Amino acid sequence: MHSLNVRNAVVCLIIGVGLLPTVLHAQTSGQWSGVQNWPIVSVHTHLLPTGKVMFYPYGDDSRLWDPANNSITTLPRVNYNIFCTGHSFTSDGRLLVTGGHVQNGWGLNDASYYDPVANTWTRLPDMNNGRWYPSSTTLANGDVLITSGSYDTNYSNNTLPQVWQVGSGSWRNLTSAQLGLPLYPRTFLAPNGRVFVATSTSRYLDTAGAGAWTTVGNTRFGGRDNYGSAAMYDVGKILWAGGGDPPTASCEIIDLNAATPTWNFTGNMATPRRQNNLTILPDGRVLVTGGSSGAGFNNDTSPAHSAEVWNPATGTWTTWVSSTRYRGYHSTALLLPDGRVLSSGGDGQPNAEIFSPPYLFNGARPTISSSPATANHGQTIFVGTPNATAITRVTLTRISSVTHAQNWDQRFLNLGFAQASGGLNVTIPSSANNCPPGHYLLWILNGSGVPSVAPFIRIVPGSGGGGTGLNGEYYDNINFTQRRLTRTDATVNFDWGAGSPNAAIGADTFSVRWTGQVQPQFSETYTFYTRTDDGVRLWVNGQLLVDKWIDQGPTEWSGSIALTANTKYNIQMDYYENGGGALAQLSWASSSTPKAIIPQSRLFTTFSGIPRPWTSQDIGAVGATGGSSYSVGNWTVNGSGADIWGNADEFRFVHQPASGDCDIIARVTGVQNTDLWAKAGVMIRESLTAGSRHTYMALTSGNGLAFQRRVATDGVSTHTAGGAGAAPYWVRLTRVGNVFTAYRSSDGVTWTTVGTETIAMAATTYIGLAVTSHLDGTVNSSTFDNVSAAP
Amino acid sequence: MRNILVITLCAIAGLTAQAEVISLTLGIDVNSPYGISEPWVTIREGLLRLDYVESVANLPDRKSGTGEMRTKNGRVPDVDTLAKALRELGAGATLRGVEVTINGHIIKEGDHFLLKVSKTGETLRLAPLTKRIQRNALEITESERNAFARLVSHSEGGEVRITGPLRAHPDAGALQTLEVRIFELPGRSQNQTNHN
Repeated sequence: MHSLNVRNAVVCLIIGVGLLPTVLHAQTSGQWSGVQNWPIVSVHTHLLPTGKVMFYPYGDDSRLWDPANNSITTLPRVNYNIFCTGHSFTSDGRLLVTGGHVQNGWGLNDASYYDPVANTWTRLPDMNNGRWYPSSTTLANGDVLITSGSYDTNYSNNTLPQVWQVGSGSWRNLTSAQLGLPLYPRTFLAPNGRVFVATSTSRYLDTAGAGAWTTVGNTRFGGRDNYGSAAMYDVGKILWAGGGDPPTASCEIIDLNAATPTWNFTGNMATPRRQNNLTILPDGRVLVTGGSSGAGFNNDTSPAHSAEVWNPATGTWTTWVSSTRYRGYHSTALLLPDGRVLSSGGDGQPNAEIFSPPYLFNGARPTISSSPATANHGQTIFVGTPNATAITRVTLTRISSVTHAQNWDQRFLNLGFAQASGGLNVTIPSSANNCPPGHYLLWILNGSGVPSVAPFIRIVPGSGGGGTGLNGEYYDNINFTQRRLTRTDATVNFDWGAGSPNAAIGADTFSVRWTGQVQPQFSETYTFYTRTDDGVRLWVNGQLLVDKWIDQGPTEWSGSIALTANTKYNIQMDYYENGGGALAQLSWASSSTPKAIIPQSRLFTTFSGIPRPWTSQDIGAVGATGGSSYSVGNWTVNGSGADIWGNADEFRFVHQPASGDCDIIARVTGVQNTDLWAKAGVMIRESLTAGSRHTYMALTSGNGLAFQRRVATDGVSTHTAGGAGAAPYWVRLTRVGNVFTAYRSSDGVTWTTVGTETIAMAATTYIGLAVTSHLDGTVNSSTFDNVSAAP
Repeated sequence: MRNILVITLCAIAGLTAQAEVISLTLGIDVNSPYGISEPWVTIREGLLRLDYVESVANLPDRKSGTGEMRTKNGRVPDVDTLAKALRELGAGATLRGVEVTINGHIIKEGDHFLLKVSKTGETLRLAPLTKRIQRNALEITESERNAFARLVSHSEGGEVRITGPLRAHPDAGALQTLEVRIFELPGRSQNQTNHN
């Protein structure tokens, strides 16, 4: 070998040996870029939906950094001082900037939009008063809550929360919720739709109406809101790291999904920090960068250079490599679409460094070849990728808007997904509380935890299917009488624990009937899942998919049915709670739809026909066809016919089968006066022939109550007057053996016997509602509610 | 100034009429470059976690670097304990001093004059004023400087209301010291009542 080649080989070997540890180190601990000088300090930094990064310093001097070519350009001025503003993104990708700087403690009352596409500022109506260090929180409907900030040299707190109403372009004052808060309080839209304000005494703010506060609880460490950084790392789950003076290494978490959310310590960071920044990574881990570990407001003699990452699965921190510059007061950090983390700014630091986490050194990255630019809540979207079979996670991170050790917009969501030809079917979260409308980064990760480059996706307010939910009827017993509440439920996803759905309903022995329609997105076989404690029945398109009307602990049952895309099908879920815990959930899945709670967007309150197991038909030779309908517990039965009397009957019968002893109750809420003997009531009937044996307890339109029956097939009818009464009035029939008893009641509580009859009726019968017009050829429309059958 | 003080005392006294610590002012130093107002909510909420604290003012006095607080049942706070609690809040705050206004009776024990707090029975050692707790306060006035001497010469077991800094004694277990800055002798004529 030539001596030069030998020398080159040695040099290569030395270089190779030198590089190898660097690569290995990056695989486990990541890598920082060199320091790049910026023209100004990035005190406020935002990842725009364009993929570029907007930042501004201690004044009205915004710049734009383009990661693609590492260029920095100057943006238009808003023409007032936007230092110390609050900010978050609206659902259309504009940046709402509120407040500003007159002098320390004295904020402006200005508000503006920055439109990243048009590259323009737009002034908005002023807020109620100045706000220096306000917080900005985008709500589920796309409006934005502004809290705190101070407005004079005494640092007087602006105690009035205000909601920026995007649609009307106006402010709504939460006048009943005035409260002094820390400056830049850490605020999060919670799963319950309220805003969780993570101060040392943490609270919920209900932004409905005039606003209302509810105390949640204290942090374990009281100085947390003294420049600790907080992030919602999963739905309703918040990590709050560091803060305090002297700084703490401790961190706390709270789960807002819990019945009683409580702050609890999680693992300590290796380094105490304040003025630190948390950044949620594509895999759901949380990175902490910067801050000072020294006592004092902004101690640059004890910089926390190391990056650390918190794993929510273990609650522990792992130390990664260290940055070069001190990122303390007025520093920022945010996640870039390529999976790197931009760390920039801080007093005296007009520069930036970029951190590449270890996942960028662990092999080839999966790629996304196509994805929609927008999606609706609950929608299943197709994400094209040649790596579909290798994908183990699909996640969303909301784009960032950062200042003063807090990223006001970022949040993380795991998405359900299923492999499909050439890609993935991915379901967007159905709840706007969990996934506020706006722009997100869409990540796919392989089994090694390596993320793709993320495209932007805009989650659009409202719902793709346009659904609003199901009708919920809530009854204070298990047989659907004593209705106490009706409402529209966005989804069926309730865990009442030992409680009840409403103060008017007891914690035990209640029942709920959900009715409406469900609209699938795909023409596929769907499996519907119920998970309940206790009993449940589920019908879809009239088909009984789950029939478990039994006491049980939380148990999942399922049934499948083929459905056609974008067709609406009747859906009905009956549920009862008999004791102990109370749980009711309704989910679905198909080959293109990952298993999930059926989203609101796919549920509708319209319901055609009548609930199962009821059916409706005319009995006898009626002169006009009858019918029946149902709406949220209210029944309408339309019946013709000469009468229910003599040897053969003519009427409309809404019925279900019964066996042996049985009980039927209804409240007649109206009897149309087609004749004074028009009747509406409850019936137990042996067969569906005109001359069948039966018993009938009815309210007439002009002759009060009547207990009538036919004891022999095709025989004559018998009548017992039941006394005076007018709608609304309760009627009831019971069968015990062959003894039939008729009752009346004015309130559904106290029952008076009208008569009894012994009839050798077959064991199998039909029970239900019967209406005759007593004027054949004319349809009588009578109404009922509180219909309960114990067949 | 006097009117302001009287109004303040009345307003605070109205919170707990039976309390013997009539008012309590915390002198607090903070690390924040923006002064006491910036971290005040954190300080306030932290103090409210202490089981002996009844209330804390919504706003501090930024100029003097002080904030008002009330203890439960008007008890005299232990200055060292309060200082430690404040330090551990993590708000970057340290206790510069505590000023109280207290009703009690003066008793003499050897060479020392003590204040026996009327309702709680707690005892404090009385001493001349050495330093005000208010930041940026004026020089100690002549009246304040000799308030202690005039008080002990006038009061013989009668009720007295004293305002001044409450100091911990360096010796563990020793009585805390109340430095006399202002005093009032109920029922005495105006010239026997000392105000700044």
